[in-house]
Amino acid sequence: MPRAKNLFKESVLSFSIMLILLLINFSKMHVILAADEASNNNQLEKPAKYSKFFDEKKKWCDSLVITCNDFRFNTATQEFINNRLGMKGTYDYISIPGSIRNLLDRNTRDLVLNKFGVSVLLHHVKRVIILGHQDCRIGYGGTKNFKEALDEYKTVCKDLKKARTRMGIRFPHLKVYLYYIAILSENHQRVYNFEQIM
Amino acid sequence: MKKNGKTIFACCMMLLLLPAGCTLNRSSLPDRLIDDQQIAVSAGREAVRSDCDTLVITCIDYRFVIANQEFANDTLGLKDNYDQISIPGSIHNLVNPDTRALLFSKFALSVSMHLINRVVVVSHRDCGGYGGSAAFGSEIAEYETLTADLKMARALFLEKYPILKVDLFLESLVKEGNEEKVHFEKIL
Repeated sequence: MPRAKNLFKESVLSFSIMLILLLINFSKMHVILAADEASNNNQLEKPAKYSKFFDEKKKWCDSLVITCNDFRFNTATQEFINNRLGMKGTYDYISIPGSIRNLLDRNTRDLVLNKFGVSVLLHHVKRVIILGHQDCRIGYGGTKNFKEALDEYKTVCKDLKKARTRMGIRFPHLKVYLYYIAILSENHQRVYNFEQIM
Repeated sequence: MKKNGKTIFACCMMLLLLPAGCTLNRSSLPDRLIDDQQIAVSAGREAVRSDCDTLVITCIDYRFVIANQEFANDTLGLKDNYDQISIPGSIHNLVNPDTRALLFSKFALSVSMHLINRVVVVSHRDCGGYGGSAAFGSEIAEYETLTADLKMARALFLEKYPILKVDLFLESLVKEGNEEKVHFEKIL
């Protein structure tokens, strides 16, 4: 029995050490995250590569916008981000065919995430805004590929949410916002509806 | 002894749950931005069509985003009539043999679905995809590399789609007083 007791003692000891290490780790992580925030306010040391530019820098980048390259949605998307969200000049703009479809595709996933990483590392973005849209011919084969309008909405929303999870795993400190753009045609106007998906 | 084993097992399970906590979002930003925004765009002759004429390829850099939009919309007069693909490093990906096939498969979609007949490639100085201005050593070396890459991209496009018209532009930030303006240079 004393042998078993020893074993128990040892295991308890090792567990407590592991727990303490973990706790330390977590507190460090908070410090690192806090440092990340601070770097946005130009308080941390500047990377040597860009030092000349960073000295003269006044505007900072705070968002990454990921959208589809479809020409019908270009003008509306620009208007929405520049004026409605009021982010003119402070965002990285990635537009790739099929928007988020590339992130879910197994073949292109790593490449796409690495490319997003460039934006995250170099420009220190704090939030990501992902826009999906109706009638995406490149990503989903267009509206005619779905039986009902609701079907399409549900599929795109599901993919958007999956994308958010993927981004969350790779870049846990980022906030991800999702938008779905619906398009309506009225007489001489096209009306775009931007709906936020929670 | 059995009881001890149970507690140790419980501890193990707790530890297994910890990584799940790491993936939780700890951002301090608000959950909801604005919602249900309607934007009306008057549909001209161009907007009703289901195809467009031009594909614009740019870099994602936020310093150039607004300039790119104004350039495409107003200077080139392409409003509502262009596909915009913007990827980090712009044309660097096309010149790089690893990603060339993937990029061409994406461009092919734009060519076949939107029936474009012109490509505008915009590259810029101090690009993060290349490692910034510092990676080249001097301004002249940077200029030479960027123009060489742009021309190579044009050659690649023409090899694949001989009927396309390819325009090349190089952007640079020019200081004017307190503001930084974006200057476009056409590469022939």
